[in-house]
Amino acid sequence: MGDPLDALTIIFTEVYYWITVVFMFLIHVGFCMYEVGASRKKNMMHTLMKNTMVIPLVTVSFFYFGWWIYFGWANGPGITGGVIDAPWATPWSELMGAHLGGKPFQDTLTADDTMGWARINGVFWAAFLLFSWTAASIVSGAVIERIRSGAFWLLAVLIGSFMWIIDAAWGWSPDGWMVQLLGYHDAYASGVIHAIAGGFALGILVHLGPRIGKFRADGTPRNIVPHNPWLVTIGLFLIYTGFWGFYVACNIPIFDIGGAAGMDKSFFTTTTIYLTPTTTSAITMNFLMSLSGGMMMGFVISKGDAFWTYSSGLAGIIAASAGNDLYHPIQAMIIAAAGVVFMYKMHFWVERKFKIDDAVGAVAVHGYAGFFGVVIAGFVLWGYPSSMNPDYAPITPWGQFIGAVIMFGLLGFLPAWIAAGILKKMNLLRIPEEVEIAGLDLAEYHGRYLDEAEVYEAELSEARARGLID
Amino acid sequence: MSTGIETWNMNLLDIGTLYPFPGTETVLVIIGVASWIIWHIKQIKDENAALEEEKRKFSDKAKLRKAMEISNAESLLETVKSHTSDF
Repeated sequence: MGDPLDALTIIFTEVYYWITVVFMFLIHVGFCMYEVGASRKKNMMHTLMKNTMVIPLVTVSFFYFGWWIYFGWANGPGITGGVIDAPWATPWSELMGAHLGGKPFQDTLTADDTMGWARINGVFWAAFLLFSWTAASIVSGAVIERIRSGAFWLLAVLIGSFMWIIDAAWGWSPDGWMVQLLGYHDAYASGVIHAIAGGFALGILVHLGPRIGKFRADGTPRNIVPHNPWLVTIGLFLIYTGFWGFYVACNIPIFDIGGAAGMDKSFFTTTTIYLTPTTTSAITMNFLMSLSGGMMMGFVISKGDAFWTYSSGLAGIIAASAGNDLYHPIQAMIIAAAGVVFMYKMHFWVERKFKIDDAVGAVAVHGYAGFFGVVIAGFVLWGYPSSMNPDYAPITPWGQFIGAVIMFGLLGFLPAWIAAGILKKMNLLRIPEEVEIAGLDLAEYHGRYLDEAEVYEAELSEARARGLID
Repeated sequence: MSTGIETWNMNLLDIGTLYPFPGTETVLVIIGVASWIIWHIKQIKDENAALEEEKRKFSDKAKLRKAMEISNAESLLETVKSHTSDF
């Protein structure tokens, strides 16, 4: 890079995304702590490892095919066009490794490709990858204490490296077919991460069934108490923190949209993933106001229950996220509060009606609140342009509703229901009932306890030998 | 002998790939994908075997009852003591 302004813009963008990735890592840390805290003591190590191994498994599979799908499948393919050539995103591309931006040696790439993508490809890939972890991690919490790890990890790859990135190609890219035809708008991923992950979790839960003892003989649910509420609390705070990174990762920090707007000069701004203008200031206010609206409503509706108040903070943000690039902060707060009422009522209705055991309320907090967020944006932002391209459909209630159904139902619930059904038929989905009752940690970590027992006995005998105790 | 870059004293605008052995990307991808699939297969086999063993062990009603006591023990000390008794 010889031009100082180009260099500053590109390297600023590179560092910007890197920082978002570090922040987003906290989401996964938070989910792990949250799930471990919410599980019973007899299952906590199994719960921890189940979610921890999402990191490597989704990472490598996202490298092998997820990243290419994002660019290649924006047209469906087959809806607004065919598969799009994206030679910088194939796993064998020289741009998927360390590159200084000079001329390519692979003939599928041009000099413009290497100059443009050399410094951005890796951090942009990583930002999307952290979304992938989040999608899989949302599902992880719902299924704790009875799913087989191997089954979960296959399902995690399915949502993290395949289904969610298809929805991003369709509805979370500047030229995705849902943006073109439906005017789909989902700036901070109410649908493209949360609704799809919630729907996916529900699809698994239908086949997985409730934990033993969850429902009484009359069908009413028992409360399976978290073994460590403090871990749950810290975990949720960390998820909040990581969510900041998630929000700014959804933006492009500096981009010239003057030409696209028809101006005869440059106009540099922060944009959404759709390359439409917003500001970091705007989304910061809206993030905090929607968090607040969610927590306030959650506290009231749950009568001060800590678990639901914290979760409602998340649900509030998620309910407002589709339009938080444009909402007024008080609109964001009201939408968040309304979304919390919707998801809270839905959670308990579905639990009682269908005997769905969603251990951490993930289907509600992410799925129902995300669905609500996409739909409500269609009313509040009705008539807004979805794109800088004036030929694309504007934002409408019906476009958003169809989009929400695609996210939650078509790309979330349906593939999970099919895949979990297959795993169930192969007897690979759920652990044996004897092991579930005994506890997963007992089965897997018996040796560790015996080591602790041996050390305890050794300390006892040493203390006696030294006359320290009788 | 060089596996990639030979000097930094040149027009840096001409440098593309920085990693060694450029041209081997396809082979690397094949190795990577194969190892990922093999990992899943091995993990599922190992987990199935472990769960089957535990299932067999806990089909003994007394052992399962004892396991429930251990898993629901209130403190580490209680857990440790439980493990040291007949199990």
